Amino acid sequence: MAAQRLSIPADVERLAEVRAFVREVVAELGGSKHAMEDLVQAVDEVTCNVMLHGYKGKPGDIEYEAGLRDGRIEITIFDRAPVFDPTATPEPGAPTPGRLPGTAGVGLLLARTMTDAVRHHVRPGGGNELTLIRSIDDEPTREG
Amino acid sequence: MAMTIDVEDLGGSPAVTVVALDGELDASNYERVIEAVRDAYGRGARGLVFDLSKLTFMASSGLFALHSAFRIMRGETPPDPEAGWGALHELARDHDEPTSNVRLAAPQEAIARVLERTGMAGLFPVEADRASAVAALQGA
Repeated sequence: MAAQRLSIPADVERLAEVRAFVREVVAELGGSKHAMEDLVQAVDEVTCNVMLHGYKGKPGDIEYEAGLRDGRIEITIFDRAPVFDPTATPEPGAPTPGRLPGTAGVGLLLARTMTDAVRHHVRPGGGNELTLIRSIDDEPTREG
Repeated sequence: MAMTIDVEDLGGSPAVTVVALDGELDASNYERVIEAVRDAYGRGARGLVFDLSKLTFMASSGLFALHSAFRIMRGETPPDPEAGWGALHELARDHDEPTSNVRLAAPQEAIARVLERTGMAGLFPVEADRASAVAALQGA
């Protein structure tokens, strides 16, 4: 099927629009309620990291492409911010009371625990392509 | 979708303020929540209930706001957003403190899952509804 796309400027006021886009595509692709909630959360967290830590609050564009591959939903987030590979940081592991991830790791931890896999590529011409992969079922199928 | 914040001072002993959040709590509006809590503390509130029954989404920035509320209600300086999310490191320390003056009422399932997954559920007692959250704070 044709991929669905969205493009927004890096502005936290546009996060609601990004979440609405994710809800719409996950519904169209047949995702479960939890798949929708998880992808909405994961995409919001990743987007927020790009806005605040990638572009550091400065203007920039963020693009989204969503589709179904091998029965799983894939949403890719494209930016032109400095290269940052969140998958290169150590797996934070499950948080427990008294042991929580620090810094921007909270959003990233959520994005990881709510998806099957996260893939990073350096974008030709500079920037990042970050793909969140999530089964359409209620619980994510962790690939590690 | 925007978020509305409805604040109600209930008085009593200790004085309790209910902050009801309606909509989606994200990076564009979490500072308004911190502001509302700071104002409530300034008016004398010593117990705080977040009514989450109409909140449909909470980003990690919302977790930061809840943590800030926890600190404010203990009479401490809230973490500085400009200092970064490193302040969340302090959550680990705060877990060791007895906590009872901030309660979460009626979170929807999606938000309860976020609280569980980040360990925040252990920091903030969750009550079934607003009335039982107020009762828990006032020992009624």
